[in-house]
Amino acid sequence: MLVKPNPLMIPRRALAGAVLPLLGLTPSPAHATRVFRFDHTQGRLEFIARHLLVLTSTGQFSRFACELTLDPERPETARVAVQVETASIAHAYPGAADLLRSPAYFDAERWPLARFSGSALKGGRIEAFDLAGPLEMRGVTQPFTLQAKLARRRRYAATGAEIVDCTARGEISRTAFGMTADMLATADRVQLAVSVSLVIG
Amino acid sequence: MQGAWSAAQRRLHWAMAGLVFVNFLLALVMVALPLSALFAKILTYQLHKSLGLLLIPLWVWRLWLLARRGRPAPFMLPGWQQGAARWGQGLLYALLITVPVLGFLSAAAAPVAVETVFFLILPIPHPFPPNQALYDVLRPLHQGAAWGLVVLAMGHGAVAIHHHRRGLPVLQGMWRGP
Repeated sequence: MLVKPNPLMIPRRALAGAVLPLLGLTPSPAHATRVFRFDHTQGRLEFIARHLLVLTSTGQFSRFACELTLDPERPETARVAVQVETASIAHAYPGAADLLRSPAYFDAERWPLARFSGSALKGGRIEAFDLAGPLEMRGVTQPFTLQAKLARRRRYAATGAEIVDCTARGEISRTAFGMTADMLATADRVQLAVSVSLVIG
Repeated sequence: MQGAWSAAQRRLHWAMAGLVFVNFLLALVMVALPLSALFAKILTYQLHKSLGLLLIPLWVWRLWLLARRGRPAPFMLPGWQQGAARWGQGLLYALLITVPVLGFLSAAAAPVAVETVFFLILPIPHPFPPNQALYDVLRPLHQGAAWGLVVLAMGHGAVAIHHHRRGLPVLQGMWRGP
């Protein structure tokens, strides 16, 4: 999945600087912020739940939009905004998506959107930094932190474009958002994971 | 050939028969359970997978005993009945290993990608990642073979009872030994 950069932002030069050699990217003295916008057609947003302490199941949201603002020289200024359509939940197990849309879980009819807007915490590096901010879901807002990672750059075989794989993970307490069903079967902590390939040149 | 089934062979025969029937009933229950009974559904699925996996080493053990200790001489029956018994028992042995192996492979191919943890203690790695196309083939094969196994086992039991009523010690030989 490829993400086209915002044409208003400075291309290629943006991912330059003293920290870029860590990613194998071309260094440049310029400071520049670049905005990456992607959605479900380019990235993947999954949730991973644990059951009976030893099992896991994974589902995903098939409609979401994300905007990542990143200055590679100053990861502490990174920002992210994500909006998810809760009714777009998808799960391979028959009937599971309907259950998850129901009032016992995401209550998608009443709360059709979940939102997260985070800013980078100080002390991060370009290849691994934390994004913290409020996560709003089911009418409840809770603090949430995503641990973001940028992998070494590579070339996308189909188009020849240079890309960097970006992943971000965080953990929520579902009961904190009012999802208290099936506590015997499913753990309180649920992981959220985003993955996308960002086009850098 | 030997005079009678050994005690180990008899125990294994009944243990596997019991496991097959319990697991078959468990399969019907786990599929019918609604997702609102998630705890029971997950437990029954894992128990079904665990009991199925247990059949595999028991099958190997049983075959090893058969090779080492042999089987009693056949009763004086018409040739066609002896032939049918040989084929029926051969098919039972084949299904006893085919059904759990197909079940495990279906679990591996299932798109839902839930791990197999033997009695919720020992994780059993799946041999390949989830694969919808493969699952669509394996799942009905597992289900069909399981129904075949249960029907055949019931027929096998009915024939044993029939012979028992006619005075042949078939059932007694497998139940109490000589």
